[in-house]
Amino acid sequence: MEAAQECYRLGTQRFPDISWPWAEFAVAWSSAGEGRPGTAEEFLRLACLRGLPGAAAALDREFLRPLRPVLRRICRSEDLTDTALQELRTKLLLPPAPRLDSYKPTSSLRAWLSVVATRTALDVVRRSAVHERHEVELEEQLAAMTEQPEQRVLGAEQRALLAAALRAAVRRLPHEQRFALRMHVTANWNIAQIGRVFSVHRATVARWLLAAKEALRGTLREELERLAPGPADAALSSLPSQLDVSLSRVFATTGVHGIEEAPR
Amino acid sequence: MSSELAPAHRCFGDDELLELALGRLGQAAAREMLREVERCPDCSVVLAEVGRGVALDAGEDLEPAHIGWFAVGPGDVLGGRFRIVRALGAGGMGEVYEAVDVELGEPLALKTIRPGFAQKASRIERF
Repeated sequence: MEAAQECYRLGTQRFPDISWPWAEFAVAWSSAGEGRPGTAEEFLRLACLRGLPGAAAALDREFLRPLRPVLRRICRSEDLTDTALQELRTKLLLPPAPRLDSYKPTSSLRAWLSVVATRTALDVVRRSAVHERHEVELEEQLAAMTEQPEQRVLGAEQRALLAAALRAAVRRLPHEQRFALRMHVTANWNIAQIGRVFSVHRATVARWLLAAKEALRGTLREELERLAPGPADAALSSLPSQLDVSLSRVFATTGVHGIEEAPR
Repeated sequence: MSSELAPAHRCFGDDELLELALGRLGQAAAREMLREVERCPDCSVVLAEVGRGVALDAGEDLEPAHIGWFAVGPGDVLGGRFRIVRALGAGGMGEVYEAVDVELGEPLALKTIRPGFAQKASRIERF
């Protein structure tokens, strides 16, 4: 009963809006909380599943609204983001099978909710008409990539070759370098998080990123010199500062559907 | 679960992706799973988001991709004086390059600091 008491103490402290007599909480704990950690999050989860006044509002305030940027990144419009947020609330809270019931405390509630939120947003986008436009947008981005400043002096055909060279160079990277680069560029993962998923030290990740950078810079310089040996000096000088922008687009265009490794 | 544009791949469950993001799988299992994740559009997006959440839960700052990281590399001349020859190594704080002082003709080592790392004064001091 110690965990239950701790759960109740922390929960009532953090969520004073939720009025829940101890005796009733103890009953709920014995049926749905036994064996779980005595945390404020668990108190909130049980309160939400019981439909207590103030519980849904607290979940919304503390956990769901902060996930709005996650939804927005995937939905790409305010309307779809609102739809996804509403679906997330429904999915988590409403009977007959509120998803919140399946949360296992092996991770933080926030991390688990970010997974459910991301899945919800992907579903909303997939169902929407915007999904098709989104695919078109990706193609447009690919075309726009060839309009980077470092490619100004090149013709359309050469720009396409350069873009293809960059994509090919990304595909040629060893898997760990490519994954590290992708998560760093597109998801803003720090090197600690990249190291965490690979179970390697952050210094190792830093070396991967450096190696990836060297490889891509080398490829692009060679390609630019091959495509525009004389008048491309200005372009070459502006290449480095633009490369990471271009990379974002490479990952945005190829990464959304996954990157296939180049045959060795 | 899958995009028609992607080849066949395995799609992972929420708990599996959480375990991966939390670094609980060990090197071999993580590498194998990450190869599959990279091929799955949904899993990639979910992992990207949950990884951000895990980093924030751990009290770490995210590290936005920045203009400039690619700006330093072999062949570049910094400040009109230091020409970078080659990369010597990289660590958690930044990167180290072999460079040449073009005015004096002398070799030197040039260190860069990661922008995310440079946000705290104590780190600058250690650097």
